[in-house]
Amino acid sequence: MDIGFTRNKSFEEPQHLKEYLSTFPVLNAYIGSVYKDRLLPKDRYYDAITIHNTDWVGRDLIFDLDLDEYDPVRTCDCTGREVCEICWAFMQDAANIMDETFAVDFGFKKRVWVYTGGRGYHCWILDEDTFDLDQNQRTAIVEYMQLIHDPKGVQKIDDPGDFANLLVKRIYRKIGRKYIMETPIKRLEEEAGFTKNSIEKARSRLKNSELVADIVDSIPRGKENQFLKTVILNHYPRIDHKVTIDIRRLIRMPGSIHAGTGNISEYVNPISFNPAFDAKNIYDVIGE
Amino acid sequence: MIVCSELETAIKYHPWFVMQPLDTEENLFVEDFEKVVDIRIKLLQSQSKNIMPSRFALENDVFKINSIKGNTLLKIGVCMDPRMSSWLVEKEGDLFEKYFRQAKWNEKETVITHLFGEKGINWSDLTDLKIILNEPNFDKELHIKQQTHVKKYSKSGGQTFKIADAKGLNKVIAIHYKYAPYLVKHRKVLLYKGWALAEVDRLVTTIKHRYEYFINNSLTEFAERIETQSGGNVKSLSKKIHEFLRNEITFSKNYDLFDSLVITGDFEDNVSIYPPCISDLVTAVNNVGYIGHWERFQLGIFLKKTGMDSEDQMQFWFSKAVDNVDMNYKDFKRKAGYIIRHIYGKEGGMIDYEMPSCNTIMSKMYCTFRHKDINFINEKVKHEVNRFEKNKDVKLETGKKVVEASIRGFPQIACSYFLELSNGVKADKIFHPLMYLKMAGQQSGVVVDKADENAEDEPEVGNKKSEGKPEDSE
Repeated sequence: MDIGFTRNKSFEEPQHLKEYLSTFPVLNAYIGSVYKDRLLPKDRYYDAITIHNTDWVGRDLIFDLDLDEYDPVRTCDCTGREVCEICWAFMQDAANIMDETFAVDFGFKKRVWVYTGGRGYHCWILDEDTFDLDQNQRTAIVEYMQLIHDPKGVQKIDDPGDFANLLVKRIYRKIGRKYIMETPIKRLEEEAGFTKNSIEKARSRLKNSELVADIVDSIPRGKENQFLKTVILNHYPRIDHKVTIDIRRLIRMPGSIHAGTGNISEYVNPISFNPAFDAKNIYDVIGE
Repeated sequence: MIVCSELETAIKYHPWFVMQPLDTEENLFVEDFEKVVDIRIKLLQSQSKNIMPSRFALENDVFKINSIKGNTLLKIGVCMDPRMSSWLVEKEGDLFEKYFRQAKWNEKETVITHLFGEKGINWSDLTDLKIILNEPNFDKELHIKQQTHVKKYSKSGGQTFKIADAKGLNKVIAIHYKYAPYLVKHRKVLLYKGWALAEVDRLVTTIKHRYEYFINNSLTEFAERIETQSGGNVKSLSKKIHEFLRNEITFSKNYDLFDSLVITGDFEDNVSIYPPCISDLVTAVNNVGYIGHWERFQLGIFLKKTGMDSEDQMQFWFSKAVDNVDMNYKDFKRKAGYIIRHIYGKEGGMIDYEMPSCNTIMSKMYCTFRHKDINFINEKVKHEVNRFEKNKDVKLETGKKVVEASIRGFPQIACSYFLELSNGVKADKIFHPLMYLKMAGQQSGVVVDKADENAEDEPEVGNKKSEGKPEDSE
């Protein structure tokens, strides 16, 4: 089998891409931006047309979640590329918050989630008016949501600020309540300033309530900031901002194979999907 | 040029909004252009002293027409001078902001429509937004309060006086998130369904930036017209106005520290010590044979400040440019050489141009870490790291800092890390391309500062006031 990287293949029609991949099956497939001219290699008469000497037209707005960004807070034994059904909950929670943020805060209507085949998700925003967003605008979108900086290092938590009420309420609803209900008591005491008594009361109250007001009232007095920071640190989405900001980035093609795992990169419901049980592997599909 | 079909109506309501073309260019060729320009400059400069024309004066028809003419003539006069252009954009923007804040709602509405387009597409008021979103109560659910009527009072001598009684001053409007990246990035505005919602007063800086964006476009259009003409009315008018402005506008000289830099050796042998913006422009010229107007100016001044004389620079561009096909050197010197002669003070206002600071470059010209995408910056950093065999770990760490600073919107800090990466020299922040050159070049002995050789005390570098506003404010 030939192993190599074929770059700068461009196609004008989806059918052409399909024909190419049917003729030349690949281990991994990545797609990039749309350019004004078809990319062509140098020949006897003309210089090459590359991404550097033709006009950039646009690129889908894409967000990347990878589990290895959560290494500092994973509670199972997994690190790096390892994934299990326990730590995958981070991906589900992150996608849950991000999807609602895209819909409610930004008004994005066409959101497609893709399991990468490896250790995370991509979210593709397919609204037409996001296609030609420049780097500054993409940075603004991802920085709006980015509350953890240097996730594998210092893990600095940003204050959401006075105007991100929707985002903060979302954090309480989607991960704050879960944090109170599911975190071991000792951790709640150490991390968020709860006492055994306050945990009991909180859990009793929130058993049948998902109201933000009830969640906030359950937090020990004076510990609200600490609680919010702890929840953000442990469960909030850790987005790889480079993937979103870089207008020329290559991204794994949905429907292609992840060569490292053999899993198929496919469209999923990110909140219910778990690769431990649901991932389709190419070798299962074609039979070994 | 911006064309607004409602401007004739608009001008009746807001004489301070000067963005419209004149009917014909003949209107510009007034013999007393100096008087018109002078009036405009005085108005721009009077803001700092808080002396502004009264509302009555503003509605005088002659004043209104002269404001528009003065603005247009100023743009023609400064468009070839980056420092003056920056000055004009800043002053016109500040004046716009002052007037906008004081304007009545209907005036604001017309201006916003002009800058952002029809209501409902890129901007909206609260009432229309409810219809657009089909959510009649979203404002109540989000606790958005709108002050429809503002009254301000002042007490003096035991009595209360009403000093303001206006409707709509604090109206809540919505701007599409694409046009408010700073506010969105820093979460300084309520974001709902893609709309950045706030009282119009809190969005003034965003609106002002949009206004400044159009001024910049207008300046670039004029500059390109002048550059491509071998003669013509606008070109001669530009020269005259620029000459006039040289006596009217003064700038503080912050960067004469770098006047005495001398580079040893050939220009193209020393690309590794040039600031990234310049090395990128040199690469682009070598590879593509063409760069934009302001980028040519930027590189041209740098070539001048590093010792290249006008004849050498003419040869440089002639040998590399692609838009001189079928043109012999003599023709090139006559036509396209205008801009080169201009830089050396041999055309136009005969000014010996200084190298602009990073602030001017970031707003008008080309800055690697502001204008290039992350992929490009990553490749550039990788290239630098791979040049070194020793201390690769340290270099990699510094490279990461370059990328991180770029992503977070701190191009001058990214540049200082790049200086450290490529030349092992540390600086907090790069303020000026020649600062980078001096620090990088002195390390290798390629750059000599005659001032250092002659002076007893070393001049401080990097502690001068920058020309523009801090980069991390909107």
